[in-house]
Amino acid sequence: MIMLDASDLTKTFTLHLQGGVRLDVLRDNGLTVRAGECIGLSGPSGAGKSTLLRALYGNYKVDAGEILVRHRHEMVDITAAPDQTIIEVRRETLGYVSQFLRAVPRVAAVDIVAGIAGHRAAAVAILERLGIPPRLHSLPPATFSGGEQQRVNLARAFIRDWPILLLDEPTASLDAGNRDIVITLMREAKAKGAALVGIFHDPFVRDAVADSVLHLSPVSAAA
Amino acid sequence: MQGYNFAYLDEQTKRMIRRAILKAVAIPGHQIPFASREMPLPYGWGTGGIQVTAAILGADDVLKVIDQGADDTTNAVSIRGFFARTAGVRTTTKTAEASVIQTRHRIPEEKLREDQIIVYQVPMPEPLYKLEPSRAKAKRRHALAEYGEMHVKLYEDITRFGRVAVAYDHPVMVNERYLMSPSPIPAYDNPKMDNMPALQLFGAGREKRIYAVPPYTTVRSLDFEDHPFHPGRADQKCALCGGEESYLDEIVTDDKGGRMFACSDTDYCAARRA
Amino acid sequence: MSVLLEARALYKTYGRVTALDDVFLQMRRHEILAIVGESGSGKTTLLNVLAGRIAPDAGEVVYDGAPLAALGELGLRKLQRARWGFIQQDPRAALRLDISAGGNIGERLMAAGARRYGDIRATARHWLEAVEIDSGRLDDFPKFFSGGMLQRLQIAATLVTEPELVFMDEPTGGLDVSVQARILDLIGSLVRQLGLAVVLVTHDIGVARLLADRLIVMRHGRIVETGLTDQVLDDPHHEYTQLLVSSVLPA
Repeated sequence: MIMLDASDLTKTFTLHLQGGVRLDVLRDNGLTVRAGECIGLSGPSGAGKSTLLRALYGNYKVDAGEILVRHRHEMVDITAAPDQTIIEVRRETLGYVSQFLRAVPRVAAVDIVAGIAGHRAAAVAILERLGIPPRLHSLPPATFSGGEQQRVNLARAFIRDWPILLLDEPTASLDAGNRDIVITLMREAKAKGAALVGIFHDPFVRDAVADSVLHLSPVSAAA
Repeated sequence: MQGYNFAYLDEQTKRMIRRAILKAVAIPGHQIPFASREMPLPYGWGTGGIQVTAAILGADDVLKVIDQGADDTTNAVSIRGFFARTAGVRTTTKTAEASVIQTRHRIPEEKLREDQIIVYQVPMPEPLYKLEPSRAKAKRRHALAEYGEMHVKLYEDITRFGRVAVAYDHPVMVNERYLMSPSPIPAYDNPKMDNMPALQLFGAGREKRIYAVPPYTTVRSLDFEDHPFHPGRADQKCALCGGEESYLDEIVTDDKGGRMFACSDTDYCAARRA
Repeated sequence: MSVLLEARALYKTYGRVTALDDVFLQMRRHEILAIVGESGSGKTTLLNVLAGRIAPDAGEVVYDGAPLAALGELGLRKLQRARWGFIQQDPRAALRLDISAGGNIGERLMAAGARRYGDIRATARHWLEAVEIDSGRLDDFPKFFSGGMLQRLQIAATLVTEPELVFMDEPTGGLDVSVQARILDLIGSLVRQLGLAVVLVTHDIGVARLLADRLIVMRHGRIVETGLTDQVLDDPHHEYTQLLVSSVLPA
């Protein structure tokens, strides 16, 4: 079952503060992901991997194309839907794991992971699984190391069964042991029917998780 | 008295005041502005009450004037004398005999009748004054019936004193519509205002407002459900007449701490002793 | 989800200064909308027009299907007292400093008809705790509270009746940075828990990013960009928005 179907995506950044220079980053890009499947995005830096991923989430606005997401049994076009709908899609269907945790001040790690719904027991379990010891659970992650923060970030994503999950370099700041745990989590998600799209810098991770790879090349930049 | 109109005020002024009184009676508890005149006594001495009395007094009226319940204090005596000279009306100290009773800060103990009018002297007619110093804003509150703040004050009283501790001038809801200051009568007197057969008129000379409570109008003292209004009274008997139902004055008798309690309403006390 | 608050073609001038120029906006229930701009952008004027405190020269504001202009003063004040809240930048302007903390919180309850002293007190105590003020201070006067405590008291006193829509004017302006973080956190969690809709004016992009679902960027009385908060801040399209975003000092 197709969970996400993007086509003809085109995006140009206009940098007004640099005299209006235009950067073409996406041109006629697209991808299709099915339930239980993982697509890896690869390509050199500047090729548009991150841009594509953010566009799928609605974080970047594309200039043309459509992004259909299966939300509540219907296909919703992220490029055309009203803000309220995208908020709803992001709340229920479409998850995003960034490369870094945006540390909210004062909120304890376990509360960040448990979220508004507050499933503390599950939060504790997944934090421990990702190697965050109990003594850190009630502390705000602002003082954690980069790797620890990222693991809290990952815990927050994987505590839920997202139908579609977008991941931007999820294992970049992790050691081999934790990397393997994350691979297992991604496989478990796939087994539950999740559709994954990820940027995996580490070929080992890519090979372990991605069913197919979409290679992006830079669009020639116009001055 | 030579050179003065009946009851001191000229007829045009009386007409103006009567119009204000009519409006006040038509909207129970609502303050009506009026063009308060210069009276031969300063503000704060009852000029409002005197103007109301002057406007309603007729040659056949019998006038009683009390100050804190007493007929014989300086102010009561002066005002009674003033009307005796400028209107030539009969005056009395007996509540039952009076047709018009002007009072400062008390309601007589004896129940008033339909054929009587009681005129209150009012220093500050605006019950919201302490909470909303802006009179323009206070007017809006009355217009929109926004009285939540008054309960805030009562809340503060209970918090600080354990009970709604407004000993006098306890605000009331008139006809379940307007919040009104009953004038600085003791809280003990508030229940007397509820459904009173007599017409109640209120005059504030310095503040230039008149308001009224028509006969048989509901007057409810503000309170909380779990801290109901309690009309307070010293738990004593009157030393002169033995009365246990009347509001008492506490009188210091010597410099050794001696004190006695006596009825504030002198006519009531005298009648009991007769 | 239907539209809760809508502004159409708002126009407002102060002499030669145009504070609002053809402003349109919409928001839905449970949404947090931030209006961001620099001084003179018109954002505060917009907030006051939306909240019915100022009448626009032209255009209309519609709340839950009813135009504000058609409500009359009585209807508007009822709305402002019962279904709306307004948190001001300076809590001293909104609170009664000579009334106890409990009295301040209880005021909206009493205005809404609460008549049991015990219940009012219990609710006030609960709300003091919710805004992290020691409930032992229930009877203290706000005169002696710090700036941060005053703002938290204002939040409690405003949210106590769980209004559908809360307007906030720079709720953390003028407070120390560490205090700001605490209050923003508090606002964020209370608003989410109660499912309130919020219109928030701020010049601080970080505040908008932290709290808001959607963002409006204003400049010289006009809306230059609008959209999801993260989208407008991460992928700004308008020149002014790009300038604003790039001007934020890194932490």
